[in-house]
Amino acid sequence: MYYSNFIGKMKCQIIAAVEHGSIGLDIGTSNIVVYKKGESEASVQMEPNVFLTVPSLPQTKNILTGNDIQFLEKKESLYILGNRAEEFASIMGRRTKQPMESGMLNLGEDEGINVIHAILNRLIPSPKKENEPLWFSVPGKSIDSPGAAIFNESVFKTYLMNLGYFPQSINEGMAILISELSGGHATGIGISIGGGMCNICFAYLSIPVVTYSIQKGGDFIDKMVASSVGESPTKIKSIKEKGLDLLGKPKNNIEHGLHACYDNLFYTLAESLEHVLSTSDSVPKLRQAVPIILSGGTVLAAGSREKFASILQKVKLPLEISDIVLAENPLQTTAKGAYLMAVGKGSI
Amino acid sequence: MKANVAIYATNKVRGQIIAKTLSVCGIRTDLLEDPDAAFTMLERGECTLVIIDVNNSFHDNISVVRGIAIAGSFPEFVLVLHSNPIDLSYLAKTGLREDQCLGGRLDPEAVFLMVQDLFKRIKTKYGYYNFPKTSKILARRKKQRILAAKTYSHRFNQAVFGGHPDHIFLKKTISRIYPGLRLAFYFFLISLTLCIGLVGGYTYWIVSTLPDIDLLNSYSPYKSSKLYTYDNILLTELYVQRRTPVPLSRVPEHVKKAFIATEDASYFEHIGIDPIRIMGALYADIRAGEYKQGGSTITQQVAKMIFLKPEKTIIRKTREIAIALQLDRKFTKNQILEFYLNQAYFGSRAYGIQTAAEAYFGKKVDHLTLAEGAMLAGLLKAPSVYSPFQNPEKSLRRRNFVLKRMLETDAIDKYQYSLAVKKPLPNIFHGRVSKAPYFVDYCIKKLKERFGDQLFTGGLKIYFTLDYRMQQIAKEAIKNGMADLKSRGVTDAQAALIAIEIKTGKIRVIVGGTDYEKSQFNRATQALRQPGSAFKPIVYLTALLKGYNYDSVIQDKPVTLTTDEDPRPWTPKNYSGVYRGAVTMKQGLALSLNAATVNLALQVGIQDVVKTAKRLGIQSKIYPVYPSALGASETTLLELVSAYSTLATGKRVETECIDRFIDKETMSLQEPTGKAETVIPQAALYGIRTMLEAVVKEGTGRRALSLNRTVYGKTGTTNKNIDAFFVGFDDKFAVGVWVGKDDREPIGKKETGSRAALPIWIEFMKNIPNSETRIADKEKDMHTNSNHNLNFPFDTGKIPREQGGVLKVITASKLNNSLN
Repeated sequence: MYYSNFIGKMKCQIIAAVEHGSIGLDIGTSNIVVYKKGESEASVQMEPNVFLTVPSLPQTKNILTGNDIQFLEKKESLYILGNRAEEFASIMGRRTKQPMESGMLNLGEDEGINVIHAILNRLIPSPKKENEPLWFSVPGKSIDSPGAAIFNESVFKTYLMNLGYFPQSINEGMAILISELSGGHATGIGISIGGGMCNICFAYLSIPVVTYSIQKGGDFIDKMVASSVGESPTKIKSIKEKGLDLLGKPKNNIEHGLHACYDNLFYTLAESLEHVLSTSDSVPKLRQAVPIILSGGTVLAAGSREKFASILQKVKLPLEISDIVLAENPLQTTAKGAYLMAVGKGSI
Repeated sequence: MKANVAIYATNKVRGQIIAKTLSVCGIRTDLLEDPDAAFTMLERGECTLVIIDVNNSFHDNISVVRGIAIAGSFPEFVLVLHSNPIDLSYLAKTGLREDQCLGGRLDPEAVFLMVQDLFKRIKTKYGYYNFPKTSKILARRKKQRILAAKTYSHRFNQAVFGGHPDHIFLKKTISRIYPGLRLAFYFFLISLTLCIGLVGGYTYWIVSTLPDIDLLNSYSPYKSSKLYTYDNILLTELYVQRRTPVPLSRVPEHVKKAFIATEDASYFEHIGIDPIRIMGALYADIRAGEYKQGGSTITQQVAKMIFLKPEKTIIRKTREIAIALQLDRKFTKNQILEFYLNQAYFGSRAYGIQTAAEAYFGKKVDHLTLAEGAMLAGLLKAPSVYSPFQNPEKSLRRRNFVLKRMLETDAIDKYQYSLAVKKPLPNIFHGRVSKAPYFVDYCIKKLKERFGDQLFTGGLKIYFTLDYRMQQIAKEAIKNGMADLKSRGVTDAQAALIAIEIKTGKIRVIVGGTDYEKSQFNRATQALRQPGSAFKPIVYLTALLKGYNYDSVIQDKPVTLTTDEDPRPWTPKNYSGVYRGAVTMKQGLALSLNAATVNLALQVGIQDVVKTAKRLGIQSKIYPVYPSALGASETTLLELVSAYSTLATGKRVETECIDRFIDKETMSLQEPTGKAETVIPQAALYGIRTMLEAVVKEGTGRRALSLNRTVYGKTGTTNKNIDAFFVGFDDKFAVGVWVGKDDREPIGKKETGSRAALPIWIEFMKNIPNSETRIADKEKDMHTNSNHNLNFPFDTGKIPREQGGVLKVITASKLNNSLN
């Protein structure tokens, strides 16, 4: 009955026995993650959302088929997908391509949609009964290009419906809160910093009060650093993911660049938070502090949380922040949140 | 014992926040989309408290304005949240309690604490949570009055008799007066001087703080605006206070006399106040031990209604008297009576005598009978108590009392009295008319941009382009179409229809759904749906614009957008499953071949298809991807029909829903007229019309052949039959029909555009057979006859309708007539 009892309780959700057939899906710029029912508990599958094209020659086809490598044939090219594309790219010294860019479908890639469909076909089983629930995450309205998110959602929804599922969407930031906070009365700010974009959701008692996205993410960092030091973005990404410590001193030009770009990204994020939350009519006055949950592949770099926390202190938010925490598994949090919705353990 | 809260919020998320906060704290809530619904719950005892969250929308949201107007009647049971401190003064003016208005940023905790507090207050005061019924309110008010009168009586005794109400002090003083006569005399002199000083000072203070009554020279109360069809059928009224002021000359003598006999028999004799009556009332109050008679004259009541708050204090009463004296000096008796009759509240949201006549008797004030006038005069004392619909017996007694007063004051004779008392009371309430609500909703948004607050307070007369007869035909067609669907086992389907006059862009019909009461969402103008094949003509037009003709051969082969490995994701399958190879463009569109259309889109380029859509006026985002060629990008039905309207003539005309309006400020009639811009050259226009005709003659629209006249159009059906369209035109109107479900579930097996939407379209087109001449004739008639039923007193046919803009200045006196 008392107001102080209901707000912002951190609670990790344990995934135990699940309902038949429910699926949570996160189609990100860098990875596609699927949470689904396993034998006794939920299982997770992840595939890089990339492809590599090679000329369509009989011998190449034989090699790929012989090695059980899935590919897509289109006109005079073969499209190698996901993990195998990265392996091949590494062997051949080539760069993979992405069917998505800045969190949205990459309309510059003619076969982008087909590539994603092919990867999804491999990850998502056919439904055992019609209209099985499937929740998939969608980005919030971009403050850079509003409207794009609707097209994205529509394309995937149509595709998933055609597979025989009953697809429903959840905002990516909201999925993080559902996954990491108590599903019923989640109050906090969920931030997913992925490859292509940052997705932000402020929820009050599980009501998504403010959701938005900015089209900057890990790829932005890779490209900026790559262009300034003359290396490939793939190499920058590899360095970023393997040994970068944002709390330590930069050891070389690349790390200098990475520190600077992380700063830039976090400043953009913090300033957008200040602007959007302060100007929204809906953000309520809260007497208690709320947590921020950070998720997504870009926050895997050591010291991300501390770096973001220090930058966030420089802006004035209309809400007091109690803590900034990293999600339990930043690459899977969004899919997990979607999955919890699918099995009825979350609510909006 | 219920302790529920009904919530209405202009911002849905804010409403959810309030509702969830309270429900988490154990309070049951209902989040409603309409403030009326909230107050209905309150009146029915289904909730204890209503929360209205106006946010920043106090002045530009009709629901809020309406809600606040009602809220003022229940100040104790309403909590208002607002974001703009300036609004507080407006809210207070409506009668709401300032301490029950929470301002600033939404504070859920403060809302909860306030709700808790209000629950306590209500429970303490009434002993229960339920909203007290009218009789209970009256009992409470009576109790309050007794208490107030006793309190005043006690204070009076304290002041005059030193706290000895039995006059003991006075008796003792008299017994001792002789020995202290001299002392008493001095005491008396000093007291008198002090009294004169105090009274003088008090009077000076009262007079110096009086409002400026010269403001009444520009007296302009809140007036209802009225919205009509182009042919003068009243659709609805918009108001903060439902009022239509009338000059006193239009009020019949017997009606005036009824008010005067009841409220102020010596009205034409006194000086604004009636000292004898005031003393009489005071005497009666003291004898009764309660506040029984107000003793206010009509002039005092005008002062109170227009200048003062409805509080009961000595200061307010003094000011009322002072203002009444000034009013009587500055205005004639007739002017004051006119203010009075136009300002008074008659219950049932009717302000002013004209609106009261309409609300209770469905007639103009000019036609009120003696009995009707007497009933209205009797209402003023307590509108809800003497309402003929709520308490007919009391209402009848009160009316007969008024008639008796008229007889006693020689306002009527015995014969008139004996006839009038036998007249029955009204039994039908004439509330606000609400016709074609989807159309009205659509237009209000545009009107608000133009008029702002004036829309609700300015007494405007606005004529929409709506053709009410066509609207009814459309409603009937949809009703029959829905019945057919139901007979085929389809439930929960919705439908929408729009008709646009091709030449002018005027929207003649909007039906936004099957039942406005159940859902106000306008599926014709607000819903973004995939148009499916109804979009295809835009692809074919793109080809025509590039030099193709309708006999050009295109490929109907499933090769363009598929792969051998993965045929599922993007295979533009034909509905029949058959691919015909080489076909003409005409066949491709007539048979609605998906593969052929995508092939064509590949040839002409999807970017150019998007450009053509924009050229035709589609404003929704058409994504430059090939599924868009088959109608995958969402649009509204309005945009689609507007685009087809352009396909009919090659000229793009902006759609228009406002036919004309009278602007009282500039004393002018204004009439927006769309300008036409040619966007399709003749050759391409001929091609697309031929192809759309072929759809009806030999394609998916063959059912329309039953019309036995030349029509053009295209079916549209989206995946799994989720949306069904038919959009087409004849030589006068472009008309579109959509059928689908709000939850985007499939309508049903085989429920295509041809089967679900086209029959509605056909029925509509069939029943407007003479449309081509009818509207033209009517408009000609309207603007060439000075005695037309519009009552526009301007003279003949000089209005340059083709040019648009401000057309004609008419005189103020004539305008006043037309505004009433």
